[in-house]
Amino acid sequence: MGYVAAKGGTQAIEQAEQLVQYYRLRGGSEPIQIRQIQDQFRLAVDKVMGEGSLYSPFHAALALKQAEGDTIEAVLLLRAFRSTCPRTRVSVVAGTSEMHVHRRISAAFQDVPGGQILGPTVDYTQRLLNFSLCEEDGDHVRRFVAQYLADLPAGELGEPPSFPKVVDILKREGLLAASNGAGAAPEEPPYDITRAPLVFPAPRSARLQALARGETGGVLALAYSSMRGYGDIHPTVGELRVGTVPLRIPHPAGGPAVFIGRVLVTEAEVVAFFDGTSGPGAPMFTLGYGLCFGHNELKAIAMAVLDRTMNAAVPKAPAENEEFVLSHIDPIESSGFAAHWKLPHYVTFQADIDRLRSAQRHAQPRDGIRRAGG
Amino acid sequence: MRAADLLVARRSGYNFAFLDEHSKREVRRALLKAVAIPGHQVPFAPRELPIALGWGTGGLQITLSLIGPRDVLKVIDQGSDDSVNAVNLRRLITRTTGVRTTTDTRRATIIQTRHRVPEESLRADQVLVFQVPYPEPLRRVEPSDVQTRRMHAEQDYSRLWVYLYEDIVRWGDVTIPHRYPVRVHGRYVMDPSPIPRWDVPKLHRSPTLGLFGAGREKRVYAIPPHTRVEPLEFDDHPFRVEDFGGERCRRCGSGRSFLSAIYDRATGRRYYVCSDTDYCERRIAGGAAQRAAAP
Amino acid sequence: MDAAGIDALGEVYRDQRTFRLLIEALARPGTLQSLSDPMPDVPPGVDPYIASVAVTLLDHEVRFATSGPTAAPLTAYIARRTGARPAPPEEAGFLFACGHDADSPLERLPVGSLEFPEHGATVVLTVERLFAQGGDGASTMAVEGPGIPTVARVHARGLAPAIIEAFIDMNREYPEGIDAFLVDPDGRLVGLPRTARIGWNRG
Repeated sequence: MGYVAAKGGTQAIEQAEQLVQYYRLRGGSEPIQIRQIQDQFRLAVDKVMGEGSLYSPFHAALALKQAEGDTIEAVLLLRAFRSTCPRTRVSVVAGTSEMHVHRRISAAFQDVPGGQILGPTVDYTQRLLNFSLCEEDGDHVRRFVAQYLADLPAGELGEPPSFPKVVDILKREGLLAASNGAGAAPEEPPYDITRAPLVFPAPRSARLQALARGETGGVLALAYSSMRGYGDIHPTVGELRVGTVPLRIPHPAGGPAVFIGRVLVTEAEVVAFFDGTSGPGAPMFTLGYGLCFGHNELKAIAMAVLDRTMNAAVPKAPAENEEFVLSHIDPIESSGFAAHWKLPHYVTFQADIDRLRSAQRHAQPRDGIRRAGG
Repeated sequence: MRAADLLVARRSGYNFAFLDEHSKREVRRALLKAVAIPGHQVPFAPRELPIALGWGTGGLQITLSLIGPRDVLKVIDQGSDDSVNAVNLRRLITRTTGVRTTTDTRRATIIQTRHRVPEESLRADQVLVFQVPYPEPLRRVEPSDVQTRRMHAEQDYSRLWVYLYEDIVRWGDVTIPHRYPVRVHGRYVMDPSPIPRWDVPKLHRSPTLGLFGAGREKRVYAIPPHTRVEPLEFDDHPFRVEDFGGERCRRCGSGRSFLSAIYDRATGRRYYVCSDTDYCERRIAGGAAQRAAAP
Repeated sequence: MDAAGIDALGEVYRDQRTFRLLIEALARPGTLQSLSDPMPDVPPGVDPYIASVAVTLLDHEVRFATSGPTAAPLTAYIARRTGARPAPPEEAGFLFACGHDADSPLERLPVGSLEFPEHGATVVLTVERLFAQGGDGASTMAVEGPGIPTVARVHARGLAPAIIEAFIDMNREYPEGIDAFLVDPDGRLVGLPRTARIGWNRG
């Protein structure tokens, strides 16, 4: 019998890569420009930036194009790219009170200083498919944008108003604990889970960082479990903001901090009902905090809910268990491991079969005895 | 040779062996502590690589932190050099290092492996790097990392022993097929990665340094050479390797290697072949040479 | 390729070679390794082989301490060259000390904890001379344990008995402990992990 070698692994991989390209291009449509993805798929770009943990709309858009819209694959590409970028500086702490607000709402009060600004949201639209989008062309785009700008009342494009934080109001009125753990000092410097291994219990900065990089669906599902009743913090959205925040780095020669640009972020501050965990003294509400890159409201809200639920002294539900939550929300870890089951496992399976045969042999004599006796 | 190596690394656009030097230092420091504390899982902060987590990034980072221009690399998966995952990993490593590769176990200085230890006895000048999906041997009895860390600290392995005992009561033998828990240097219980039982005895007092990398779980651990590695067993139920029931490899005739079953594409019939393809091919070549030499 | 590029890659290979020798030394305690890449351009008072070990292993994520007659220039060099932060021995991950210095602060080093034994420090000790066989004025340590087929013998001149005793004492409660590298001015290297069981007598 001739020896049939199991060769050709390299060839198979190369052909698979070619086939992927073919599947992407065989439709014959015009190649999508990166710019189009950045402009018209901004929310997908923002999601990928947040989970990819790299603020670069261009690279996120490129990753989405390469991944043919598979956001987890795009995140994997972006994270790997991020690994190759040298980290030269750490910014000064950024204040979201300096945000140029695009959108800002509070569910806690009917009105708040600065006002409720709906901003660009589809929250109040009816979810009906818009078939006119099928005929959209360059002319439509140019006319719409020109008309929109022309219709803006004069003076609208001036200096934006200020928006004092709702949570500051609550703190001033003695309704909200001053910090998330009574008397807890801020960690100096913040923990970086990309530089040091995450161990539990985790410092709060590590927890928030892990959540910020978490996969939106995973973070949402766990937060949802808490909202539905597997643990419940009775949350109210104290404030949700979307806008750009300035970033500064310390001056290399010791002068004032240097402004390097603005990043778009979504911030959610969720107020939880009092439950005795606010520390000594009179009971108070406590705060759950969420912040992520780009415009991603569900994730920021879910982050804030989980930030709060994980403070449970005795975890009674998965969302209250910090180790459970933080171990399972990273998209690269979860998708990589789920996908790895597709790799060959024939040696381990052969070993499984050996054990099963052994157990079956052990089971047989008892059967024989029963039959003989019965 | 030196200049050519430099060029290969530059052309790929990445540092030699892909990882930046800071990342390598992180892995290297962790590896030194791992070697100093045999079988203990040392946490480290892995870098994201262009290969999915769960697909060998831990082992890969160890190899990338070890490898130099004079090394000869072998990468296997299920014992085969040609398995698609091994091919992919090998391509990334060679693309960013230019090192020579080999399928010949005897010629390699670094062997990165998934789920097998080569049949060929390894030497002191070789390093065996294992890809590890589950670094924690206690995971089958305790899901929490905080708890398992405490159990290792206190040498509290009682729940694992109870698990093994209940297995024997129920099934007549310990049913753990791979990832068989071993005790290293008489102290830490360790997960040897999903190698079959067949390969566990090779770890005991081996002349070769064994390094274990779990990228997704962010741990490395090590077995120094000449170290006791003892599978957990009971006096009246000693550890046993797989029984192939007298089957032999259809290609080379070996009855002394780990075999895997194949179902013939055309006929559907089952036959067995060595999982270690290099070992198998060398036996075939040796047999052919003998036949050629015969009058 | 420009000179800076070649230099940068030269450092990459140098660190890789040095690391391979360090891990080999620790994995096979008592075997004699030869460091091959003394750091060029070290300031006076800084041993070029000690410097190469420091540059290979240290960076801004770790803290280190030094002691002995060359402590000051060595501290300055390591801090500048690697970004590692000088710290008192109690907080150091690495100590660079002198083998014949009986007052060396070894015993102040962290030994880690049962849950995190890897937090035990690493000490790099300069000795006068390491020998493959015995040598004039050398102490001989008989070493057993992981990495050693039966018994290994380490012959070191310029290693104070107090230091050997301190090392043995700090490692009596395995897995807590510290790990050591011995280096001589010609770049000979021996590794002693905390698992090494040491029996010794004066030479």
